[in-house]
Amino acid sequence: MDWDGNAVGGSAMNEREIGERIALIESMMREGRRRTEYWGWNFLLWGVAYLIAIGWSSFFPAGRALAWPVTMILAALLTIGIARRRMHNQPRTEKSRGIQAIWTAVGSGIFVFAFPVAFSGHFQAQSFMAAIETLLGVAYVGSGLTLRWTTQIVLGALWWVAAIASCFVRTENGVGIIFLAATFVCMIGFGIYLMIRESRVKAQARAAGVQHA
Amino acid sequence: MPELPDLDPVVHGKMRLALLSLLSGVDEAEFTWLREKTGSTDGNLGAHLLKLEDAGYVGMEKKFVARKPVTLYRMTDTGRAALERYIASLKELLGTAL
Repeated sequence: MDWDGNAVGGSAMNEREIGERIALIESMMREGRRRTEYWGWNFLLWGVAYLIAIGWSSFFPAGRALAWPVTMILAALLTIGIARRRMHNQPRTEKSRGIQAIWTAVGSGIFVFAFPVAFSGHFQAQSFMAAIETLLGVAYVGSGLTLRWTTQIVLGALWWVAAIASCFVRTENGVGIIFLAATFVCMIGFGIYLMIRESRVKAQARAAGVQHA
Repeated sequence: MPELPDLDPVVHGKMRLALLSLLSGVDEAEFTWLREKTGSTDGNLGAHLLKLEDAGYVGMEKKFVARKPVTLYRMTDTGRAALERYIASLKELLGTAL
């Protein structure tokens, strides 16, 4: 059979040819549904951005007020720029639109909440960080449920545990340590794990010649 | 002896079958993505997509994204039904062959 095969009656096909056709359909359907965009880099980027913001605000008190706004805005711009490049010509699926909606809504929500609170003069570390951690948990669990991905759901629950813990610690340092620990596990660790997994999947796909069916 | 099902000649072309299978999993896809996934040339891919369009199995839309022309293909309901019929026929044939 060639790629240009034309009219063939059912009777002309043997078992092997039918099997080939079914395998082709399955592999192409899988390829179409494959999450063609990989997002491990984004978790890592935001994890590192949080670390930079924490480090900046802790060790350079002079520019403390600017640490979070500058780092977060830069991370958001980088995310948009890299995502646009990587998503070039990639098709959309209902699932990918759903995931994008969750992250866009939560990400925007965090910006809408965090900036006014930080500059209003009513900032209170425990409740502020608990709210941010809760919102991050919402994105992880929402996205994990959409993808039926237990790892991400568990990490979302971990953000919620961090949120609860933040409500009960007495010092700002304690809140910072909880946020740092959650960032290391849920953002940096998860990002690195995803990038390793994605590179393995890509290598397997290349080895199997999926790219060209 | 049971009657063997006829296979839709438009779907049966291997490239066209690959294209319909790819499009069945996405909302819409760019010409360049389809070319990348099938490893085809522009001319060959265009000819097969035209055949699918003529049969009413895919719809095509040209638009500009960031001032660049983009050609998008989307599977129609007729195309989805044709692919489902084709798969059912293959399964029937496989049952007969075994």
